[in-house]
Amino acid sequence: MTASLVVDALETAGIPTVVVGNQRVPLRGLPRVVITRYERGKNFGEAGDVAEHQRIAAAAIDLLRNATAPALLDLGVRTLGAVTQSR
Amino acid sequence: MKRDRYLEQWAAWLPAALAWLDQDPPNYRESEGTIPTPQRPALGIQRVDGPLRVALLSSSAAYDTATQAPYNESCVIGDSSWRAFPYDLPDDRIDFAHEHFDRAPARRDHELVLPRRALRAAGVETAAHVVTWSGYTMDWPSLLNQTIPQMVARVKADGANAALLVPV
Repeated sequence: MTASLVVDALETAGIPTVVVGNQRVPLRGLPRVVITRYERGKNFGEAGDVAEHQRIAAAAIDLLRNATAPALLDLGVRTLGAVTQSR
Repeated sequence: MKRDRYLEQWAAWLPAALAWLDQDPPNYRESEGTIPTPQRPALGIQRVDGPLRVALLSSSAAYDTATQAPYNESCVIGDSSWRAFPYDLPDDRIDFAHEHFDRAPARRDHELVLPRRALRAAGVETAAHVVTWSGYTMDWPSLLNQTIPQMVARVKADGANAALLVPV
């Protein structure tokens, strides 16, 4: 929940944000969100899975560069929002 | 003295929250689920022209074990402080003081919540510091009035023009 407060302050200060989380509800309404399928504390995947870490980071940076509307990118099983991508 | 309406709402909520947190086990659902939320700004989509210089922020309560105190895990309403440490701080200097998530995986591989190498591999420049806070804090007045403005100031001082956040 506190991440949304930090996003609000950064965006208000003119710094675009992207959030990589694993729960939709607390991140609802934020400008750019990437949801991963991993449990809490493993936002970027399993330990040692460098390729997956990089895939998630690349997706987040792609949102920062290219999103033209609020976007929620689901890298798990569902797709919501203005930008879509499947595994 | 200017009235702080949010602080007043939060102070009115606090006694009930403390009672929930005093239960065994603590009732986080009720306490966290009822915390007053401040009015949110309307956010559009801001674009960055030119190369990205990205700040990495994480609510994992990561800290530099050699130069910083751990976050306070004993406070019933959490710890609203923050830390910044060099982006390239060695892994063995970093730990996580946040008992509300299983830290074992992140301790094996910091990239799970501090994706420093993965972010650089995405082809962006990164800010000089990683900024952290503890995702478990109910002291939102301190968070809003002190912690977050200081974290934003750190990000701006580092010259970042974008930010990636990892909530835990």
